[in-house]
Amino acid sequence: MEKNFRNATSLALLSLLVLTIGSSLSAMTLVTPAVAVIDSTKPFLDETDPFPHLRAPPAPDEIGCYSYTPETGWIPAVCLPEEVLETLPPMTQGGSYGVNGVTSSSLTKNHGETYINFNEYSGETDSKLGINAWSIQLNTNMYVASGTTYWAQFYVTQRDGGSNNVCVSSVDVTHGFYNAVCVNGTLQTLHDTWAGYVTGDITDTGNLKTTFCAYPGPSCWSVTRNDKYGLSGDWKESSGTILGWAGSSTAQFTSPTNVLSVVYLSPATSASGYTDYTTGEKNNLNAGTRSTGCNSGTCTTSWWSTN
Amino acid sequence: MTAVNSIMISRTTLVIGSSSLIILSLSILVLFFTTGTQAYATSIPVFRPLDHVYNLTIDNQTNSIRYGFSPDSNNTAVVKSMSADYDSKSIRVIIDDNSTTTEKRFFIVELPRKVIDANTTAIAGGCTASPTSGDSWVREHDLEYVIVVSRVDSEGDVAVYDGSISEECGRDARVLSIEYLGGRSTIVIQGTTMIPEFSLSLSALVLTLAMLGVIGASLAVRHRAISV
Repeated sequence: MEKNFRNATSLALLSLLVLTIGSSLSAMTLVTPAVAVIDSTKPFLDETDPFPHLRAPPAPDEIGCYSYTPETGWIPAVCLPEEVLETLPPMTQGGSYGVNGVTSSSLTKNHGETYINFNEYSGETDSKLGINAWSIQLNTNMYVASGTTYWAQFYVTQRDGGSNNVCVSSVDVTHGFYNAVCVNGTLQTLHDTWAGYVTGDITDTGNLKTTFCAYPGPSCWSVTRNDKYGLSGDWKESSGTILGWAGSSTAQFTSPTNVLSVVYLSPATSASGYTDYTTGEKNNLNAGTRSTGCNSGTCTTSWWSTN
Repeated sequence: MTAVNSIMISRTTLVIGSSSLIILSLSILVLFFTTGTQAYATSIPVFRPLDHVYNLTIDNQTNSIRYGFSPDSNNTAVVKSMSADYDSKSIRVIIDDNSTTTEKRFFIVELPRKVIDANTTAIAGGCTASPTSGDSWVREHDLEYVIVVSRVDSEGDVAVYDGSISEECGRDARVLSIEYLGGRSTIVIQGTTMIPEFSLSLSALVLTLAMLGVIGASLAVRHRAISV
């Protein structure tokens, strides 16, 4: 009788121990490795079509935030509130790292785009935030109005285990202010055939619009906001690629990595490639020779980056 | 002590004009070669005064956080609130500064590593004790805190400010010098660990050990009973 009681007591205590350990473990964050989905229908560039990969229809021009899947079409999404925006560090201005771009003489551009397509991927670590933190940026030229220098950035930035944000930022370079409007996207897992793009537009109604789309799908997110600092009439250059997360960080790709970057600018019938030193973020890849050309009112510059 | 020295030297440069370049060089040398000090910004950082204390509550525990302002000759800068968010491992500080100074304004805050820290398993930088200090410690896994300074502009939009940020790295605490603006500013400092994380792990460990002890004792009693 006494022995049975002791056995029962031990069993109860053991159960309690297992429960305790289980509870402790459940309080911690368990990370499940993400499975990379390989999409056999991934988009490749077609040199005869200026926008071969724009599979998603244009996002709404009305001010607001939106998301898209082929099933839902464009639907409204919640723009990030003030208390979240004040926690997001800016894509800082001012760096010595050169990013390829395309430039045209006229100031009437209303569309730009940075398209990224991996051909080989072995991993990435951001110098500030660690694994799978990066940004894809489309940056305009700086411009001056009433003695103040401005700049516009269209980008997606993400940190692993954290957030993926799609944003349009109007920047007052002179006074160091970054005013972003953002929407939450979905965390991306880069892989050997990952492809995605960030567009920047001045809409017919004079707003700024950015769209980020990632394949497969595509799944897209978009933000339309006011043209706070008057980019319209002052846009002549686009530059960008995949870079560090924010705050002048560096995207450090594990070797071997091989990625194609294409930067678009329109409307334009002639343009040239150039190296832009505006953004502070960087990557550790070696950019190959860029190829620049124009077709059907759109100019592009493209290059492969490797390590 | 390093920061105090640097402040004194910086002020001296204003008085002794002809020697300012030499003293400036000396102050930079002091900053970079004194124990446990690391400066990320190019300008001379200011890490003192730390003459105020805010009792920051995290998970019902009160933690004393030392802070100060530079310049703050008229006590015009005040911390309106300081709050912690465990989920994002961040501390949010709201500052009101109504002074009309044209100098750059810095909020200086000392963050005990046990309260909030930013680190990784990799060797990422940080600092170590000076070989001549007679002390021995290493903090090479430090990451920079993610720091965002912002205010609401005249149009009601959140404007993030890209100002100067510096750090004085220490064994038990990290001191940040963060440039901010006049009026109401919000500073968010984000790390990778925050105090309840440590206490949770510790309490789980203590509970587990206690349970193992109880089971061990129970088994011993059982073994003794069987033997008898």
